[in-house]
Amino acid sequence: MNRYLKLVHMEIHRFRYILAALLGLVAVVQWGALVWSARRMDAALDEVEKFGRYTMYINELSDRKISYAEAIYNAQQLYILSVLAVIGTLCAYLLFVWYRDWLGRSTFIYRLLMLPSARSSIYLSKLTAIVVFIIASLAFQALSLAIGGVIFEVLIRGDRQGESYFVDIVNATLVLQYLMPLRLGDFALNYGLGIVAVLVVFTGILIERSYRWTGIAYAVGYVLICAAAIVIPINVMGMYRTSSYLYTAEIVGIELAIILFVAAVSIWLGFRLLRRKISV
Amino acid sequence: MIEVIEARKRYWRRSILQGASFTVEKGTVTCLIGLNGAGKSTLLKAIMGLTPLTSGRILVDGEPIGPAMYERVSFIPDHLTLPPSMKLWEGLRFMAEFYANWNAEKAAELMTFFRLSASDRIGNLSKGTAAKFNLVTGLALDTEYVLMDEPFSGIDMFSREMIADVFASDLIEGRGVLLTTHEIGEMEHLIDKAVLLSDGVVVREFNCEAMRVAEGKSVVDVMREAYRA
Amino acid sequence: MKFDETWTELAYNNRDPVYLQVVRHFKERIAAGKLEAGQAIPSRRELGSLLRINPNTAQRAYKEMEEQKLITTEGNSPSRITTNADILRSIRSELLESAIDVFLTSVKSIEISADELSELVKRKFEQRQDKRGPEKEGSA
Repeated sequence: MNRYLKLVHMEIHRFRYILAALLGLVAVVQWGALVWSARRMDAALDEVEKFGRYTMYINELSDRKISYAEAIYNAQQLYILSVLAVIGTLCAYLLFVWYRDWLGRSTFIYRLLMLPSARSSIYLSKLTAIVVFIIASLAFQALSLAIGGVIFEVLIRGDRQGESYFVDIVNATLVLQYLMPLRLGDFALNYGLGIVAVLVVFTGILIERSYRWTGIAYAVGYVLICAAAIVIPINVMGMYRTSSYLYTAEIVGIELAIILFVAAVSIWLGFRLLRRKISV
Repeated sequence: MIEVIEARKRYWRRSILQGASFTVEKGTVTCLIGLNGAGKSTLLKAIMGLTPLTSGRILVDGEPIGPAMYERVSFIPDHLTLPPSMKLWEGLRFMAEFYANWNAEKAAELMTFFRLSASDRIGNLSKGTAAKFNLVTGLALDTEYVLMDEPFSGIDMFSREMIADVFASDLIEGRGVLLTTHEIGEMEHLIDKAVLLSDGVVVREFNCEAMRVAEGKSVVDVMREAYRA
Repeated sequence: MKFDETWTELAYNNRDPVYLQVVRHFKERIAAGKLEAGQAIPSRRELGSLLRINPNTAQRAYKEMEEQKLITTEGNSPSRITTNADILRSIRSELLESAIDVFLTSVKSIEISADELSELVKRKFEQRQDKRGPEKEGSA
């Protein structure tokens, strides 16, 4: 356990600058976009009040108030971009967290494989680190939204501020709807699937590292089979048909079982490859 | 004693090892000799569990290889094994944290002996300094066996002498050492046993001094015989 | 006594057993007066370090020297060169005789009588003495 924790610490420590940069990016871009968007709406409101001119932001039917959620909505491209940047980087790091130990002059993987602890801790520590990064990003995003709210309050005149509920804020952008789903079930499903995807990719990487040339084919094949195993049954079992053999709850149950199975197989296979088949 | 029994390794169609067998005894320095691509590095990696054998067995003191053995067998490959962003002292601390038998005093001694500066970054080391640091991380572990892959490759002459001095010192005493090198001519007087690898099998395995006493031949002489045939 | 500089000059011939070369080196030093009777010598480990040889080889050399009664070890104190005059003398003659054997083998193909040969040897010897004359004081 101790060594596992040390490895986790090391993995997080190695990534700290990139993580900091990513979170910094999110803050700067999102707050910047917020300020720009809020100011724009403010100016539009000025236009209306002074000259009676309506724009796309304020029309006859609106209530002459600007809300935080609206401000975000009007700048959502930038929000989406910043979030995608983080997601993209983390996805790339799914691969890089392993391959960085093989590349270059210094092959750290030798040292990792020669540690006197179980090799499964290598897999688990990298997995834990990724999960920590995801949680950190998510938490930071939530914090950033909250701080954004404060910025908004400071920026816009009190009598012009409209109300924003958290629901609206989250739904203001396309990405946040998926990243911060408000129903626990959706949250669990999205992030659960995300973690299973990480497991599948990790095991795919280990397959490639164990079998080299043909390994790439096996690895890609493995990922596709897992994806198919999860996705196809949904349609086959008639989730979206109005009349099918099984109840929705049953389909969901079977689907969950499949997902858990894929997760278990990935972990088992990953451990086994690390122990027996991996080759530097 | 490390025993390699009928080691075979195949990459796709190519057979690298075709039934190599030899032993490494404690308290002796054994040198694995072979032409380029003969499978020397593969054997070392296989002993350390870094690559699987197609068939055959490897026993360390009678037991098959596994994670527990990394406190008893140390491996020094021909390139660095710690992240380039770490400084030397961080690398040493890493070793201390993960290995129970890390000997910090020995590490400090070796750092001084090799004149290494602990605040350098691993990624910035020259080839010679990197090789020396590698030796520090490998030798400062109180293991019964030490494996070295080409400890001299690409190293300047003076650094080589320093590294060769390690073999003459008490750092080696009592341990079983297995190394591979191309500089066999320079190293001959330091090794106890030679294992000649050719076409994936061991063609000669002998004690060097005994060969000199019995046949007046140096290791290089025996190599010429074996590889010309 | 400082051993460092004087001990690392060995160039190893890889065809003769290294341990015997070490023993021979000791004998040469004794015959040259660089090692005195009763003088303490480095321990097995130190020897390995100084001579840059494998500790096993140093061990074997030690054993050989003990068997040939070249050195004596008492308890835990460092080993010493023997004080036995007979042995010291025999070392000297052994080295001389083997050098002579080598010399004679190399001139075997040249036709020359023993007297003429020893004349030549004597002359060469004296020539060298003259050259080395002024420096002679510094070598012991």
